[in-house]
Amino acid sequence: MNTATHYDVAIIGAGMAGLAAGIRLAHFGKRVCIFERHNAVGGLNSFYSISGRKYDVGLHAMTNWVPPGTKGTPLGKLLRQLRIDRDEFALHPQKRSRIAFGPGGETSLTFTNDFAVLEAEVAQKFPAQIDGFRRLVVLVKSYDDVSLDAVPESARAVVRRHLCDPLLEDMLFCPVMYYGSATEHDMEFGQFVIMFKALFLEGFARPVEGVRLVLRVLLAKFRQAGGERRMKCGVRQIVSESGRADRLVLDDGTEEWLLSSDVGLYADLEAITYDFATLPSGTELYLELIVVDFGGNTDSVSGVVTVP
Amino acid sequence: MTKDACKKIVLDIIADIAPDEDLSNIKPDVRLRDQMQLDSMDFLDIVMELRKQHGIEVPEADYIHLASLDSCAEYLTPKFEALGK
Repeated sequence: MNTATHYDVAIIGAGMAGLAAGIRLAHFGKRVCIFERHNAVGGLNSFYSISGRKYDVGLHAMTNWVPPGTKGTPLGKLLRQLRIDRDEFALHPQKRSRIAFGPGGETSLTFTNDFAVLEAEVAQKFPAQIDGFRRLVVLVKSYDDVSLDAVPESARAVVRRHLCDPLLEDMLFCPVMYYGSATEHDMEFGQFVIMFKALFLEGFARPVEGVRLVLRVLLAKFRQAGGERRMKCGVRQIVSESGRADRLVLDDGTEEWLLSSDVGLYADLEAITYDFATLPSGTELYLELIVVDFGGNTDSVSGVVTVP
Repeated sequence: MTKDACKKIVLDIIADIAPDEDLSNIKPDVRLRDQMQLDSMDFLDIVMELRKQHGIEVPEADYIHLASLDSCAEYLTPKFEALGK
């Protein structure tokens, strides 16, 4: 039985990134389907409950919190692009966080969504470093972290130009790398700037209901935008033809088709050859090519050519 | 379609995609991105809504005509009229 469906885009995994990408693609009129092997959305950010008590897995706080009305920061852009009203998340800012180092956590830095708190902590615990810290913050604030032609640079190397206490360096890198580093012991400086702003200069928040609410809102937006999803429907294999993802083989062995190209059917009708009796030069020929694919979709091109 | 009606359509779209912006004092002859926080993604959203809501295609080479409300009206009004609106 052939039940294959065509999609412009297939997204594997209904985590937050998959849902967000699906929302944008559906906004732009693409036929998009999210394939999720699990029976619940969320991926790494999920939730469960035991004896009526609710727990979140993965994301416990959202970064980039800014007060309502703040312009030009990632939170506002993200909400706008996903058409989410800030009130839908009902974000509650954090009270405080603490970075504690040493066997008994004897050196600690407290920070809140008010950057002055971290600055005062550094001044108190690392008085010899505070001037360098402030210079580093000036650099972070002025750095173009989304420049596409910035030369990648070691964040450790840049930070060491401003700070010379390895303990303070490690304490600042700890949460930043925890949230956003793909390499061990170091990260690219542009990424460091993005995360430093997200955690320290902006801040943390979460909906009271936690990740459940975030996922529920994302899912509702995806549905409203016309996106489709298939739950308990894992993808076993992506089949490509001529270097292009062409179709998906699902866990149950059925196949789904993807449009292999945005380019419509093309035929070089001028170059067509024929094998019936030679036609007089100047004869006009009407040519039509119809293609039917395995999904039952058809497309055709036609044109009139003159026999040379 | 008058040019004012065309500006109203563009403003309605912006209100839709950027509900956090105050649109009450937008000057028609000043670039939109100089008066509010609109980045290139937001302009893509405007183009997308013109297509979805009104069937108007704006090719990439013409995005520059969407800079201000006045230039939007100059550029889009004939397109609305061509569609019989």
